[in-house]
Amino acid sequence: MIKNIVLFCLMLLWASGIQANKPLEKNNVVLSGVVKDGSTGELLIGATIYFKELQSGTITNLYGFYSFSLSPGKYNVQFDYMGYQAVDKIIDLKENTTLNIELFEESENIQEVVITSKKRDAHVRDPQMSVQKLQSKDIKAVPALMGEVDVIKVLQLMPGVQATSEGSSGFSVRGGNPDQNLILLDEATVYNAGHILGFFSVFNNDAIKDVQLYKGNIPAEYGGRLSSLVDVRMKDGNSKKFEGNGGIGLISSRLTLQGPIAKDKTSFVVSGRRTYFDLFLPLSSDPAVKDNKIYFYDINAKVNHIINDNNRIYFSTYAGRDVFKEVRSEMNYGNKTFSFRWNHVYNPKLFSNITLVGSNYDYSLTANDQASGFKWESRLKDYSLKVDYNYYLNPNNTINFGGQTTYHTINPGTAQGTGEEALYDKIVVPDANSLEHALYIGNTQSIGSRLSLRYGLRLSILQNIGKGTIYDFDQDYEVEGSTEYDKGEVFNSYAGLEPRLGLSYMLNETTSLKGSYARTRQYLHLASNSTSGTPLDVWFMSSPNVKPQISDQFSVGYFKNLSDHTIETSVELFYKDMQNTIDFKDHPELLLNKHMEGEIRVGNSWAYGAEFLVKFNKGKFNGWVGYTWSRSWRKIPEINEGKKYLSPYNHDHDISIVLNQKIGKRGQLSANWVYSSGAPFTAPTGRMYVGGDVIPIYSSRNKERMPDYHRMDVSYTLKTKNKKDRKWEGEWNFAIYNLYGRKNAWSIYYEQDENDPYEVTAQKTYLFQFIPSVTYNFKF
Amino acid sequence: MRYIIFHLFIVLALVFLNACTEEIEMEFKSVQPQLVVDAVFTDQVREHYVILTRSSDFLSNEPNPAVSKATVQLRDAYNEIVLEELHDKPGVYLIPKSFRGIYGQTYTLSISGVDINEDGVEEEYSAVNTLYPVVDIRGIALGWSLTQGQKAWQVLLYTKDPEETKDYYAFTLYLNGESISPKISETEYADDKYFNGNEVNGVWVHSVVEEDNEGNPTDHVLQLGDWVKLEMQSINQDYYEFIDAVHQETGIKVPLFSGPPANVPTNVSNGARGFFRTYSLVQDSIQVTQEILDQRE
Repeated sequence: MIKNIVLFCLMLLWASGIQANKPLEKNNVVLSGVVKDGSTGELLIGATIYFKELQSGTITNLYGFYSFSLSPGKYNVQFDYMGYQAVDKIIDLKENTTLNIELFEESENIQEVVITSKKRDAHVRDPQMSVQKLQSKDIKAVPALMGEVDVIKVLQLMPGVQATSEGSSGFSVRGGNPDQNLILLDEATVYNAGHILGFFSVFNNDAIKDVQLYKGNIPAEYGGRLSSLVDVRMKDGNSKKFEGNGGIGLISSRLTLQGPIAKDKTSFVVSGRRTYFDLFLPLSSDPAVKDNKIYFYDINAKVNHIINDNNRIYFSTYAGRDVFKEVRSEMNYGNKTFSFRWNHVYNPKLFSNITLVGSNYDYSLTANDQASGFKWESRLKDYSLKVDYNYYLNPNNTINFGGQTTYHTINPGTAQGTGEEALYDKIVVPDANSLEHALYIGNTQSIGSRLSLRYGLRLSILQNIGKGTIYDFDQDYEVEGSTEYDKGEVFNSYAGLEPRLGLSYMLNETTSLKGSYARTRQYLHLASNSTSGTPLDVWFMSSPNVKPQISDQFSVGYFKNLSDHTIETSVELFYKDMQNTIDFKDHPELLLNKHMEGEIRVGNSWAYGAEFLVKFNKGKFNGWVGYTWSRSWRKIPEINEGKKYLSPYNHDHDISIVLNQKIGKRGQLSANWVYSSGAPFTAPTGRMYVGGDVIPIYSSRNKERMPDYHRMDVSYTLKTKNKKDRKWEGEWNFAIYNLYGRKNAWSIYYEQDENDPYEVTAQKTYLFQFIPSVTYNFKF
Repeated sequence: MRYIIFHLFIVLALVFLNACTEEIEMEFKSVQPQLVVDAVFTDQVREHYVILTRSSDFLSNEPNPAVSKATVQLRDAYNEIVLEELHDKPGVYLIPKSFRGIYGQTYTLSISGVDINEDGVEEEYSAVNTLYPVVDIRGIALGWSLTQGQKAWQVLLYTKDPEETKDYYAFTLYLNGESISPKISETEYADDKYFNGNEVNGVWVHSVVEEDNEGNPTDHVLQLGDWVKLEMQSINQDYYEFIDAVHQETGIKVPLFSGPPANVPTNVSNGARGFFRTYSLVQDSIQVTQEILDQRE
C-alpha cells in the first residue's frame, strides 16, 4: 500500500516536470510579490490572487509571498483576504513583474455589499482538508475563562478537537494523545503549552497573527507528531506607525507595543503579560498563606527587517514562566524559544526560507526542609536548522522541498538534597541525546479546472547518540543490564518514509469532494499517564527499547459553500491506524526513574469518526456549529488482559456552537455552548476491606463513562465612544464562563465515612462554576 | 520524595484552583466475588490474625461476608501450623503467640477448603512473604509546621539507613498508646532509593495534625505530658508497592497527577485479592514538654 502511494507521488512529480517543459510555456512571464495589511504592514498568510480570465489563481505562502507564471497579456487580477476589502487590478504583463499589494480591513458598513463579488471558494477548492484557520480577532471574540483570551481554548471548539479535561489547555485531536500534537510558535516547538497547571495557554493573543490547525493530512514539510500540527505565527510588528494595545483583566494585564524602527523596512513587536492575583496574598492574616507566591508571565518579541525585495530577516523569541511557592516548597517551570528566519527570493519562481530555532522547556521543584529538603530539575533542549523552498514551476504546480535537522537533549531529572543535614543523595537520570532529520518534497498541482492535488513524501530519521545509557529489560520488564555509549557515538537509528496525499475534486462551483492519506512517525513521546497535562513533563526519545509510533490516517470529505460563499459546510470521515502506541503499566513510576522505559507497555490503537461543520459569516452575525462522532481504541497485550479498551480521550459525541452578533456600532454579544459525552473511566466492580481501608476492585479499563460534560459561556464587548481627536480606543469585555453553573465532574473518587468504616460514597470534584470576569482592552 | 511530591501537587491543585467536591450518585456493576486475604504477621510476640472475606459490590456499605471453615496453614522453613478460626469472629483465623516471626525467614500462608466462585470445586490459594530485619531508631522529635494549609506536628526521625541492603519503611503513629493512623492509607512509607546508607537526621516521617486544611480542629491536639509513639516497620518491596497503590486508590484523584485507576497489587495466588503482610518493627516514644509546645505559633 505504502509503496504504491510512494510510486504514485513520484509519478505525479515526474508528470508535473513534463508539463513544465511544454514549449508553450517557454515565453511565460511571472507575476510575484507579497500581500500585506495596508495599515500595519503585516504580511498576510493565505491571501488569494485570482486571475479572472484564467479562472485560476494562487495563494500567498507563510511569508505573504506569491508567484504565478502566465503568458504575457492583460489580466484582471483580484487580491483578497478574509475580512479585508478585495483589490482589483488590471495588469498588462509583458515581462517578469513584482507587485506588492496592500489590503485594508473591511469596515463593517460595507462588508455585506462587497462580499458578493468575491471568489471565496478556497474552502472547497483547496486540496488541503482537515485544517482549521484562525486569526487573532476570531480568537478574541470567543468568551474566555477569567477573561484570558486563549487560542488553544478556541481550537478545542473545532470538530475533532477536545480538551483533555475541564479547563485544560491540553487537547486531543481525533482521539490521539496530547503529546501527539506538534505545537509550533514561529517554527519553534513549544513543549508545554500550559500556564497555571495547564489552565491557560502560553499564547498571548495580542502577539499572534495567525493560527492553523492540521488534524490530518499534515503537509510534508512538517512531521514528528502523529495527530496534529498547530502552527502559530507571531505578528511581525507594525511597519507603518507606532501603536500599542493591551488589557487589564481580573487575573492578568497585557501590553503590546509595536512600530517601525525604519519605516517600511524594519519593525518590532514586544508583548508582555503577567498575572497578579498573588499580589493580594500578603494581605492575608494566615501566616501560611502570606508568603505564598503564584504567578506566570510571558514575553514575546520580534524584529524583522527588509533588506531588499528579495531578502527579509526575522528574529523572534518567547519566554514564559510559572512560579508557585508556599512555605516549604517551590515549583517553577517555563518555555523559552527563539527563531531566526531568512526569506530569500532567488528568482520570481523560487522562494526560500532558512530557519534556525531553539527551544527549551525546564522545571524545578524545591522542598525546603532542614533534613529532607531537595531540589529537582529537569530540562529539554532543542536546536534545529530548517530549509524550505517553494518552487512555482508553472500555474498548475507549486513544488515544496527542503529538510530539517534537530538536536535534542533531554535531562529527565537531576535531584539532590539541600540543607545542612541533607538526607538525599544526588540522583541523575542519564541525559538522552538524539538527532532527528527529515527531507521532504511535495507538490500542489491542478489538473484541469476540477481536480487539485497536494502530495508529498517525507523521509524522517532518528539517531540516538551518546553519551548515553541504555538499560536492557527482561520479559517481566526487570532490568537485566545496561550498556554505556560514548559521547558522539550513534548507537541506534530509525528511518521511515511518510507519504502524504490530498486531493479535491470540484463537483461544481460551490461543491467538492476531498480525500487524503497521511503517514506520520513520532520519535519523541511524553511520559505521562495523567488525563490532563502536568508541568512535570518528561519527554523521552525512541530508543532500542522504544519503537517510533506510526500512524496512517485516511479521510474523505464533502465540502459545500452556500449563500454566495458566506456559509461553509463540510462533512469529514476519518480512520486512523496507529502502531507502537504507548501506554503505561498500572501505578507506574514515571518521574525520576532511571528505568522509566520498563514502565512502558506498547500495542496498537485506532480511531474513527465523522465531523460536521457549518461555519457562517453574515457580516454582523457569524460563528460556527460543529458536531463530531468518534471512537478511539487501544489494544495492548499487558493492559486490560489484552482486550481492547477506549482511549481516555474518547468522547462519542461532541458538539460546539459558537455565535457572535454585533449589536449597534459598538457592541458585540458572543456565546458558545459545548457538549461532550462523558470521558471513559475505570469504575469499580467490587470492594475489599483490607487493613482498615475499603479498596476498590476493578475489572475492565475505561469501560464506564463519566457524566456528560456541557457548559455555556457568554460575553459582551462594548467599545467606548470614539473621539475623533483622540487616538485612544477602549473596550470593555464582560464574560461569564459556565453561565448556568453546571458542576461538570473533573474527577471521581471514593470517600470512606469517618464514623462507619464500611460506608463509602462516590465523590466528584468540579472546577469553574459560574466564573464572571471583566476586562478592559485598549489601543493607542 | 515521591510521596512528598504527590501531596504537594494535590494541595497546589486543590487550594489554588479552589476545587469543590460533592457526592455523586453512581451505579456500579458487580462481578463474581473473589477471596480477600487480610493478614498480618510480625516479629512481635503477640497474637496475629488472618481475616478471610469475599469481595462484595462496591457500594454494599457493610462488612464483607466472612469466609468460614477454611483450612488455613502457615509455615516457615522449620514449622507448619494450622490456624484455628475464632468462635466468636467467623472468618478470623488466629496465629498463636507461640509462632513468632524470625528475620530472614520466608512465610507461606495456604488457604484451602473454600469454594468462592461456587462452582462446586474447592480452590487453593497461597501467599508468600519474607520478614526483614529491623533498623534501629536513634530517636524522634516533634517540630511545629504550617504547611499545605494544615497546622501539624511533624514527627522527625533520627536513624541510619543500612548501606548494603535496599530498604523499605512504613510508619504509623500512636498518641498515648492509641493508634492515630490505623489504616493502610494513613501509613506513611519510604524507600531508600534516594538516601541509601545515609544518616537520617530529623527527617519528617509522619504528622500529628491539629487542624486540617479547612481550618477544622482534629481530635489530636497535643497536651503537656502526652506521649507520641512512632512505629517504624521494615517492609519489603511488594508491600511497599501495595501501600503506595492503596494511597493512590483511596485518596482524592486529581486528573493532573493521577493516572487511571488500577487494581492494587496482591501477593495471594489464584486470582484472590488482598495482602499477606509480614514485617518487623521498632517503636520509639517522646513525651510532650513545655519546650515542645512553645514551638506552636
